[in-house]
Amino acid sequence: MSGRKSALIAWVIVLVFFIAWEIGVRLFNLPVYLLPSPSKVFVTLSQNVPMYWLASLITLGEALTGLVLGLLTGFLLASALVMKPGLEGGVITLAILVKSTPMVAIAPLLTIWLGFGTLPKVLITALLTFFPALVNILNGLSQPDPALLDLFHSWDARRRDIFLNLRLPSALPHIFTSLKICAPLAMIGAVVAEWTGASGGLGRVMWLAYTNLNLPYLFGAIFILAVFGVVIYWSIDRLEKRVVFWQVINDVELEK
Amino acid sequence: MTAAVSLTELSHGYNGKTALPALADINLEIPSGQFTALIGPSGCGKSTLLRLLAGLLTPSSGEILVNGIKPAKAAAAHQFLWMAQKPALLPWLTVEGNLQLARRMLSGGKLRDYSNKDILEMVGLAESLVQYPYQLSGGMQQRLALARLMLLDAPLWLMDEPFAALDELTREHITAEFGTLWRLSTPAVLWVTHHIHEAIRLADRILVLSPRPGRIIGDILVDIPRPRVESSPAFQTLLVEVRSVLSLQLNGARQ
Repeated sequence: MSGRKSALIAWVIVLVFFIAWEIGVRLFNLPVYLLPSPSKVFVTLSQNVPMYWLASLITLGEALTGLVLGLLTGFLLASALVMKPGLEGGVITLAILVKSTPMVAIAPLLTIWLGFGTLPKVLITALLTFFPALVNILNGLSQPDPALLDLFHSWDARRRDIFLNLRLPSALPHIFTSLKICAPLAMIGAVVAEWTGASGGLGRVMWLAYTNLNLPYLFGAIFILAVFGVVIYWSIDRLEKRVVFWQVINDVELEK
Repeated sequence: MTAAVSLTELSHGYNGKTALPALADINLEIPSGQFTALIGPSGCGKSTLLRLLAGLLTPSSGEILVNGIKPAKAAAAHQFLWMAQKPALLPWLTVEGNLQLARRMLSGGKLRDYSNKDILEMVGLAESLVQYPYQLSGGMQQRLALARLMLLDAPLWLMDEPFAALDELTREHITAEFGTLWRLSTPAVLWVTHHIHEAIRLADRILVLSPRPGRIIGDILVDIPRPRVESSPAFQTLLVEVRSVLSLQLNGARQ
């Protein structure tokens, strides 16, 4: 199926979903404090553009900074483990420990220690994203094509040369996979962190709307988060197709 | 003159010498400049022998010398070049990028004076300079792998069934081209193959390995002037001789 056709089908599904939702709310006469209709949510959104815009900027800023921090930490750790394989057991155990600690438990603690500003949100987002980044990137860095590895060894290539010329480019598809996994996680991390106490951001908007039972406001923020999720995923996907062009070609060949 | 390859009492087993023996009691000397083909049934340790020579494996026992030194040192001194069935090209680099990377990696050795363009012309890829490996046919990809052999003046080429994955016609063409490239500097070659015809067409000497654990059970000199014509009586006689050694060992293995 062509990309354009599948995109069209996806849009039709979204449209049908909204129409069904609108009809359902009107048909069953659902009160707005239980489930607002999409039209009501869109009106709320259009009447509060500056407020949502500012909140979005704050959340996006936190999510992106945390994502970069998490990915960078994951990448640097994975690189260190590939260059010095003996460290793997210890570092992975520590990483699993961090991963297994529930974020909802850590988030309020960080807010108490570091205040209502940006830092605790960035840290939570980084903590949430670093483990999938570490595991995926480590996987990519440690599994280059064995035939290529043999070739580099037959050249007596230095470990650094093998890393830069073989392992790193071979890991690019894995790096993009971790980006696709971590980007939505970063948004979740930032919003959850804002719920535990913040002076701004979409999480803060949602929390205020929730405590006031103002569901159109709450759904407005959810809609924005959903759109961000789609746009970020789509952008990463486009970038991946450009950067890891050989992988895309191989996939197309396999499908044939 | 130092032998290109010298093996003394070489044995190798996976998971230790006795667990899964791959090679047993190999004594062999390949003089410099000799083209040696190594044939034998699947799993007889041909590729293992090549990997041992390239320093990609450490032998369970015995001694390996490549140009008079241990494989690890030979690799560091760029005394040999390696080519396998898979062309081992970096998919993110262009044809020239692949060649240039190999040049950089081999810069510690005795590089030849050929430019990248000269070499790509030799292997018929001058027009494909900026193409990526996925844009090349299987034959062209192996030509690019061949091009890397032209970068360095190495005394030994280790070739592990380099053209086995190609179709018959392409293989014949590329094998002939390989012969021409080899004659430019005549390094010693250890060529692993399944094809008796190919072995006779190319080699000065054919070594036959027994089924696992591999032992040398045939050492046949190919005393036919090049270019070799398959229909010639000498070619046919040798074909029968190699086949009989191979079938003897297979029958022996079955009994």
